[in-house]
Amino acid sequence: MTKSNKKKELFIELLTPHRDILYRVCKSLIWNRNDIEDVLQTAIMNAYRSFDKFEEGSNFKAWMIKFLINTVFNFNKKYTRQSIFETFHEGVLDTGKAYHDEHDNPDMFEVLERENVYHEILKDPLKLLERMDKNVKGSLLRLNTAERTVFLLKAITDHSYKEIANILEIPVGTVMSHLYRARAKLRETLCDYARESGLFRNEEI
Amino acid sequence: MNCKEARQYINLFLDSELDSKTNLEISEHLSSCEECNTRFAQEEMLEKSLVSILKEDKDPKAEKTWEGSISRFSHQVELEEGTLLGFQSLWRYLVPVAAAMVGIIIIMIVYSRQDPNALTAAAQKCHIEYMTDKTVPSLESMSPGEVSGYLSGKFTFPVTVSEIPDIKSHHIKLFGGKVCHLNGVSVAYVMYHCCNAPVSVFILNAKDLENFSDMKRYIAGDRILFKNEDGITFVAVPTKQDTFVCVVADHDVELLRWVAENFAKI
Repeated sequence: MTKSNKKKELFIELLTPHRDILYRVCKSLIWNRNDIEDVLQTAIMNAYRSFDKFEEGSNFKAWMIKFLINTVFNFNKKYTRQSIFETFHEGVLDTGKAYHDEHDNPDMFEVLERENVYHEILKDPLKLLERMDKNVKGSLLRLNTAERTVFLLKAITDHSYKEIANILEIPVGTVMSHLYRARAKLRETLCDYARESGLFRNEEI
Repeated sequence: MNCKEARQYINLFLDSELDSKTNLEISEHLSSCEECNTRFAQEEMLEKSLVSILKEDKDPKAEKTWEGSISRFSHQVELEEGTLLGFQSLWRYLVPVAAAMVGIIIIMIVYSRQDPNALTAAAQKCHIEYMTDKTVPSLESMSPGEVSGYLSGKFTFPVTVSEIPDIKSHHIKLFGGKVCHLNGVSVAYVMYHCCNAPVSVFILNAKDLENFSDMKRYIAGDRILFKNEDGITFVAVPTKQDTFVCVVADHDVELLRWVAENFAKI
């Protein structure tokens, strides 16, 4: 077996345990579902080309996801006149403003705290979620790209804030605030749905 | 820590992103506050349920899509490294060829270096100078005794120039003698003429033979033969006086032997 063949085999060997996560991340962040296979192939090839730079013993999953995220954003760029990177990094740059907003307005979770329906949801989340079914995914559309990316990376890969910050090349504090807002927005969506469907009406005090 | 403080950290606590001190404080609060404990558990439950739905069940297309992208990646690598491999196989041939060439060059250098160290080469060079009149004897004389007398005083070893009888009607005429240096070794150079062609005779101390690469190999033998491209022949024989006689001339070997034997006889 040649040297390059060995390198390829080793690379695929490292890759295979993360196939599910890579696929999920790709699928949940890509805009056009038909691009998934292309994106995966491109990301894997890009990572393979830089494989010599990968430091053995460091986090292969996080290293690989970084390539995947970049590839996904590049593919999504095709479908928008505005660069996704711009929107993403605008969001990043906006964090100062975001903190400011949070300071001025009541904390998003504090607002939730005052909603009775939220407390009902907390008591039995599955009752609502099962009813919402596919609409749960629709709630992700309420998030902006940065919030959605951070939230999905956390949900799917279970990386730490620091690892996500490294993957997206943004500060840890920014990851934290994106995640915070993403979670609050998702909960608001759940409340809206619960109110509209009248699911907890009987229990409402 | 009170309830309000603890609930500020709810996200960080559930994500295990807190420093150990704050983490401990919250754990302590949770163990003492039933309300917060329930709330934390509920938030965790909601987040988990939400995530599990958003992560969705196993996608039936996942396997196929993954296999597809891996096989396409594999193919791409083969294509890209195929060209590289072409270079590699070229290297496989180039390296031995280059090594062989380097080896040949080294051998050539070694041999060409050996050449000036060889008595045959040095003597012939000197002979060619004599032939082309670049070298003239310090003492011109037809008398062997006179040349012997002149040369003997200059060396630590005995130099006796002999009268050489005619051979096959070839008259070998003494022309003169001088001291010359072959590779830094002082040797007696006796010049003769035969049929208008120069004949060079070098007499050197047997001890000095060590300085000549080719002589080391021939020390044991009684004669050395060498003929170069120009037809110049080289003959060397030891004498009874612990010296060595080398004859160089553009003549046949028989004549050179004859000259050498006349010196060896002494």
